[in-house]
Amino acid sequence: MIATFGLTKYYETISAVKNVDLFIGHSEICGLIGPNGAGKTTLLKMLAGLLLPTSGRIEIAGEEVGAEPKKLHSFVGYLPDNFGLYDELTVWQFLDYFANAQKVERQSIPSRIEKVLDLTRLVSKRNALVGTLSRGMRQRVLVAKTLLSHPKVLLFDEPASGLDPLARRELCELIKMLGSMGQTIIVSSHILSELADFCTSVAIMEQGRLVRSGRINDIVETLATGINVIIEIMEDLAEFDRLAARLRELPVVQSLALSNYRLGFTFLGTRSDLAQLHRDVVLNHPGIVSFYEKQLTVEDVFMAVSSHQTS
Amino acid sequence: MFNNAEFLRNVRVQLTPRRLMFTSGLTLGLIIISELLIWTATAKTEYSSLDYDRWAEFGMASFNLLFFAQIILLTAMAPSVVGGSIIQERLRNTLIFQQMTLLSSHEVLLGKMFGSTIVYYVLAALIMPFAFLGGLIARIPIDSLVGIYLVLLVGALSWQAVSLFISSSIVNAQEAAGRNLAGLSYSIGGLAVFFMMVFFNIFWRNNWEMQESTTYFFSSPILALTFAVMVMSFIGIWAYVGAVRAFKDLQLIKLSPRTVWYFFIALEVLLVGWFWGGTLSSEGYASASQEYFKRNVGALFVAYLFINWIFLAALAGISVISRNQFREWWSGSLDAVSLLKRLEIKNSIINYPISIAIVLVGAVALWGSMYVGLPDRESLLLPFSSLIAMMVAFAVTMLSMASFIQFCAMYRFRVANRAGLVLWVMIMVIAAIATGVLGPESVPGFFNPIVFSVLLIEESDKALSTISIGLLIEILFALLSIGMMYWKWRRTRDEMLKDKD
Repeated sequence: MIATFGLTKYYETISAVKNVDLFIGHSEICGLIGPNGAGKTTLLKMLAGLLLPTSGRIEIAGEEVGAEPKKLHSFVGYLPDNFGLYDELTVWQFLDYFANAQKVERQSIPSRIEKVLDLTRLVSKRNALVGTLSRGMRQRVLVAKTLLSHPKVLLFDEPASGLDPLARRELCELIKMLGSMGQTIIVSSHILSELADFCTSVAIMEQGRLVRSGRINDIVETLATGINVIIEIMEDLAEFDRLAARLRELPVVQSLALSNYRLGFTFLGTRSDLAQLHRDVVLNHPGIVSFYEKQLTVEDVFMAVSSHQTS
Repeated sequence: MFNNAEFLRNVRVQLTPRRLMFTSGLTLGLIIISELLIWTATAKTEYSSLDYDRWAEFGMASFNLLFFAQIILLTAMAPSVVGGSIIQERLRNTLIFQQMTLLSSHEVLLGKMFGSTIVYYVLAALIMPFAFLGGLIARIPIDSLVGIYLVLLVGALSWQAVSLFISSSIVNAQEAAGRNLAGLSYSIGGLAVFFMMVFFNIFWRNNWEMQESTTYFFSSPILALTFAVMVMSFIGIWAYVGAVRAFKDLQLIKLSPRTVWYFFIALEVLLVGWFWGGTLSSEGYASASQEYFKRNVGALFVAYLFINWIFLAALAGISVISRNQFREWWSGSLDAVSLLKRLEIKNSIINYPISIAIVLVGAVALWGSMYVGLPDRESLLLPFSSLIAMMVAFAVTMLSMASFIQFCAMYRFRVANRAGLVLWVMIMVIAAIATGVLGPESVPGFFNPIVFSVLLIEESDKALSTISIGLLIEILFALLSIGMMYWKWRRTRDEMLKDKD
């Protein structure tokens, strides 16, 4: 659905985005991850047709954008990080304006507005002035406005910044729902836990370069050298040391990390070997509270892939 | 217009029923009170003849007051608000919607032009019947009244277009159009109302006969007022075209270079038509002294060059190539985007000499017009060799100016191109002062192509020495500017390519 080839953007001598080849499939929710200054916003702005690249190609929904970024505006919805709205209008008037501005067929405008109000759970606020809404609701108004024209791709730039936890959760739910409706979405954030819930793929950026991209499961598979296991034990130092010493002896246990009566390690054996180890540990070491396999999160992927530098 | 989403949005915001009721009621109330006050004031005047004079005085005072109110509404408030409507988009972070909208630039700008000012037009329309009635009572001819309103409308629209052009160019040019720019639109409004007051003062208040005076356009007589309206319309139309271009640029839409050429062609047609044949008819020429005619022709030539100089300076300021654009040029890629950017850079480089060429063609046409249909002029006018020298000097100075502005633009100032333009103006002002002190036949005098032209027109007997010294100085200055630009260009290139990776 989205493909970029050698996408580059220079601001004078500074390369904000450098040679990015990004491929995102249809109805994927891609988390664009990277520290501040990694080039996420510049990349999104180029994908939204708001910034002309220095060089490179963008293809969205099979359409090559070339030197006419205006083309993108008919099928890409962009939700900026820092945005303002027309506060003097009511929510309905606001959406009516954008439906007309986006050339939605006149007869279908009222039903379309009703639909997006329903999707974004703003029906009760249809006659409220936009200026009186909370930040979370304003964010939803912006999403509703973007959905009016049936965009093929939605780009969210740091959507959760400035939202309270409840509004953040609601926004996540909304993005998840849009993803389940088949929308292709890119969400940029430097707060990784935000993305972990709903991203199906990630693209990791550092210093303007795309360090890694792909489906989370594929990246996890390539990164995983074994099974990550956590064992938690009751506060008994002697027993803790005994268990740690026992695990160190095992050749299938690697990268053992100890902290606060918690042992984490990578198990290189098979799953049946792990089951055997579990049985053995529980039987021979009293005070075991839990023994579980830890799935790699978006955060783990980022930490493993990135070199933790900012531009 | 009523299908224009931008217009409807502005109307929804500006013309709420409550605001409409309040402002209309207030305006009507103020009209009634002012009419009563004027009627009372006229009672104090002692009339020697009939009571009818009191009505005439009342009508005139009423017309003057209400027309003044309309001038304020349409030429002070409307341009301020329309310029502010674009700057506001930047200030409240909604400009992105305007960039991504599927409305055309025309739709957005027309929507803003009429939507954001709707209140002022409604109020002016509310006042109009009262003002018109006052004018009729004051025995102002109805065609004059219709004329004055036509001029007011053309003036208001033109100034709104100017305001749109300036604000959209600034919002576009400066990434963070700061809050200090919010006052800019009010300044344009202030300038507009000042200009319109002067205009109406010349043509109506004290000089009713000015309405009858004529001028010549391509040697055909034309009412001075009609010509003034033509000039105002010219400014308005081209300001609107400029605003559309600035807005398209904001939306990353490719711009055609031809618009700039068309502008210069239109400008030269207007100027050459205005100055055609020294602005004197055959009869006028017969009655004018040869000395007067020569002075008149010289002044017109100089005015022609000076007006074009201003526009070419603006073009040089607008079309300088920024450091960022140079970076694009040096990116070395050959994809569609890079090629487009190279094309844009090439366009802005080519546009400038083409515009100079159009100006020079106009100058030749103007020179030729001095001979058309009028006898015995050859001995009075500029020899062709002097005309060529003037044209070369003018072209060289224009290239020198563009090079100097480009030189400044390659420094890291955010406003480097504007700083270059300001510096250039300052250099010319200093040269003018030095010319005043040292005399016109000095280095600073020759440096200025206008002074050079005046010398050639006035002292045709010393033409050869003036031509050679003048051209030498002009060319030396041009080479200096071009050399400085080239040096800075090379340094910038080295600096940028060194940091490429």
